[in-house]
Amino acid sequence: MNLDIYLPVAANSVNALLLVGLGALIGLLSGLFGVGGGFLLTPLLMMIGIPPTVAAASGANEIVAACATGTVSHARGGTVDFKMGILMLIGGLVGGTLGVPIVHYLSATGDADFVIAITYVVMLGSVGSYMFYDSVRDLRGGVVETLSRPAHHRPSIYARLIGSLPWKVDFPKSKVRLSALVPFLLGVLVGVLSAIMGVGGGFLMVPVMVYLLRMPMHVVVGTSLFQILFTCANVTVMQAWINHTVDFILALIMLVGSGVGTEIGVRINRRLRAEQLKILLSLIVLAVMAKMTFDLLVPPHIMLSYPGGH
Amino acid sequence: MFRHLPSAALLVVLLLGSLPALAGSGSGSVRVEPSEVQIGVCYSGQRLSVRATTPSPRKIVMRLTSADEPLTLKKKGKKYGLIWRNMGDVHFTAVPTVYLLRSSCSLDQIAAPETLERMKLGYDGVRRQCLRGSDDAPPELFAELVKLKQKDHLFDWQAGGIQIQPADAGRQEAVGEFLLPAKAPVGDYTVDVFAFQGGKGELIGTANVRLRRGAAVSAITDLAANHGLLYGCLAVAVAVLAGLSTGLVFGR
Repeated sequence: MNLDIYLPVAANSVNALLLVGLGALIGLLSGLFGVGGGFLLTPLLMMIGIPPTVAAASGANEIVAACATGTVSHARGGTVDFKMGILMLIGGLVGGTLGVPIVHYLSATGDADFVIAITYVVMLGSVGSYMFYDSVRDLRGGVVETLSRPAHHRPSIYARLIGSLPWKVDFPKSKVRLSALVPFLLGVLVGVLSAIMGVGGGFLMVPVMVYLLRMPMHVVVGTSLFQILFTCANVTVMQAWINHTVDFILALIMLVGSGVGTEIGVRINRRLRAEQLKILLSLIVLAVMAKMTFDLLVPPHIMLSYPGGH
Repeated sequence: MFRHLPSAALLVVLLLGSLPALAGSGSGSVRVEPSEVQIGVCYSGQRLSVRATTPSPRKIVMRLTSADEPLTLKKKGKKYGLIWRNMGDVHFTAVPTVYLLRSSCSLDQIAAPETLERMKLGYDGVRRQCLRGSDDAPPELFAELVKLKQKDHLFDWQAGGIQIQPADAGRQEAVGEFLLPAKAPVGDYTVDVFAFQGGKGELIGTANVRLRRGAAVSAITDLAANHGLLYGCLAVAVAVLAGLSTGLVFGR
């Protein structure tokens, strides 16, 4: 039985079951950790013969579906902080818009590939290492659910800084009171990095929410998915409009798997402790970082590549 | 009498067009089936059967190529002596998008390298045209170009895949097969059949194969290329609906 399917924009043929499996894997990550999975999906699609530009754009389209499923599931469970998510989303859109000229400048100087690769390794390495260290420490100390520091500790410089900012708002879902500027500015920061790295920013957004906004992990996952849903929808439309690189058939087949994967991920998420979730995510992030570092340091098998890849 | 001439000419053209790809510019004939390939939703490449009638005894080489095009690729290099990255563009002058070769025995048993190179049989012949007039493509990078193309099955070379059997009037029939890869772009392809004796070769005949998109694939490609904004919005809408539906199904 021929299960190969032709992808019109990618102009290649791929086994449909393989795509369904990839969709399920990425959906599982989304539901479990609140990451879009773009940092993993794009390289995996490239490995099965999808051109890099089509892989990135179509991956964003697939992530829209996974995030929609995840957002609905988390919203039903009351674990989406819409107020926080909207503020971060506005910041992310501003940051993404600021990041595009930076990428354009780097491309003009010929350094874009290099900067993107190094940014990936540094960000994945630092975020993954810190999450891993912190999760292990919490597991040993028996700290449950949040990362709130004991009250008798002297507030850090960061805590004092955000405490001094105006326009304080209550975020009941996240059980924090912050200046509205904080999620907005952090959204801008993640947006800039997302534009440079070409991903939805979930693996950056999750640690930002956990460590800098001090949100409970289970609310972080749902809120992150809500925010990535809009970021990736924007990326999909822009890529389809300007670069014509979205392969709808590719995304559609992966959707079959991703819906199921996301739902399973959400259910597992509700059964795991916050520290367990963080340690799993940190291990995946570190594994991707190790693979990227290996690719950067080991001589490639073929010394030529088609334009569009890193 | 001459008033029916245009109609007759049209009829001849239509009749010729309806025949399988069949041609004979040399001392034999070449037939390829199918001569027209449609890319449908389940397309994963297409096997092409080639039959050629040639004088006997001859050694046979079959070649399937596309039109030559300029090609720009990224060259890998070390940055700061440590990190492997894309380090600039390499321009090849005229590269066939697809180059498939079949021969009845290994090429070194068929003719001298210079003869094969002149007839563009084997990668040495392709190398000359790829590098001609290119300032930034050193010859050693051609081997990398071949590896890149081979990875997608766009360049392929197999010896011994042609069956030869006796035919009428002291002639022979050679039967070979090509697999047009899924990554081959739409367009026209040419199948050339060469016959060799005593190290000398001649072009026996040429046949054409047309690869085109089927209706469904064509509709999606056209929408993506010409109505990108609408296509992108539809893609997002379907993704959101699919995602929400899944959530609702599991939520029950």
